[in-house]
Amino acid sequence: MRAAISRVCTGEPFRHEALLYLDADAYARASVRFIEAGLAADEPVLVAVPQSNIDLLRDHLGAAAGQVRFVDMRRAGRNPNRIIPWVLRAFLDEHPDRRVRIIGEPIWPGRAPEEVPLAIQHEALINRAFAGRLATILCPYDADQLDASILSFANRTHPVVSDGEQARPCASYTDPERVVATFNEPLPDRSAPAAELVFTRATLGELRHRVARFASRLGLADARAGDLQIAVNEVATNTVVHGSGAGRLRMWPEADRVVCEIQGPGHIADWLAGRLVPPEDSPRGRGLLVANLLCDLVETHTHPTSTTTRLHMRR
Amino acid sequence: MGGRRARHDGPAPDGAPAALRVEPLADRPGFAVYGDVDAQTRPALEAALEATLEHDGDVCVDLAGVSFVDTAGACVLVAVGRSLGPGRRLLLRDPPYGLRRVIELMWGQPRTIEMDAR
Repeated sequence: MRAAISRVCTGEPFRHEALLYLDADAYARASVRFIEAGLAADEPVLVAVPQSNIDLLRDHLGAAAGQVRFVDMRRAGRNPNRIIPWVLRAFLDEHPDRRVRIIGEPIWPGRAPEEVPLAIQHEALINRAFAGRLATILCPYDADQLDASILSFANRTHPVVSDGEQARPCASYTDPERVVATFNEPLPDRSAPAAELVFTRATLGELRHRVARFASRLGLADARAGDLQIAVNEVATNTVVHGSGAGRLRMWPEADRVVCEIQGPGHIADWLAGRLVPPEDSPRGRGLLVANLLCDLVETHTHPTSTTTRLHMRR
Repeated sequence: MGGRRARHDGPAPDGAPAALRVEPLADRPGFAVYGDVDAQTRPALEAALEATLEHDGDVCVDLAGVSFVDTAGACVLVAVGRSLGPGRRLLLRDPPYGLRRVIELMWGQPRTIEMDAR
């Protein structure tokens, strides 16, 4: 299998491969082979998959598990926009001059339907974010349980696809920007908001005040409310600094979360915004990055004259 | 004088006016800030920091009268801490939740910044 991968990827240091598996045995077999090949080549290995699969792989790896970094993707990747900067890139940057090997499983059976399009966009953007980097990323997909449409996107977002035995170049691999654009659609309609506010750069203080009051009325813990206030303020700031004029905040309480929407002028031209860590001294480019880290989901619809962002914060 | 607020881990409690007041500290190089630091008010913080860089030794910024600092404001403070040079530090007295949170997330624990939670 490795010979096949290196053949189809000649000349490209970064490899991004989907593993379409049919059962737990196939998952474990292919994953353990991938991990052991990395360890044999002295490559640092990160496994970011749901905890149940971490447990499965630990059982199969035995003592070798001690050499592997495990991250529960259900937690670390709850917001898919968080995975590139805070999971993958963080690991690559720990090992700047070495090839690293990663198993990343951002889509699992039962993942909430509103999270799946964001996870597919994330998979597409991996190809841009890590082009040229010394890394191999294997992304397992449950070919038995997941919808056919999700599996067809696995074929579009990975240059190489494997069934665990045989890897092949993927004929339907699609330009990442086209995949991302597929899901850049108006956000689903919601009921009338519980609170609404028009803001400008001069009234960001009032906006923060309203978010804090709303969060406290709904019983959010202080730290969660503080994080929500930071995130809303950053996205609102982007709206009135990069764009001009006024933005609109709308807020909804839900059983398990608070949803805040910021709509305003301005266009997100680069979907890697909020997923790349700027140079240490750069004053810009951190607002969306911080929002992605703090929030449980960040939905975006952008076009040349307007951007709408919905931030979800679980209670 | 801007009032001191009791600190707690949470959101800035009320909407501060969109102006920043800066007063020099009596006992050491540095200044106290009153108001929120955001896109509207950040230039006033930058100007005050620039004026303070002419002094020798550590620089203290008293943030007890500040309920919120945004990410760009945090970035300004971290950059000033770095630019102070060998042996000098930026002391942030009583930073609000949002500032502590963002500095820890983005920069970990910068060597040139000391945060005093008091």
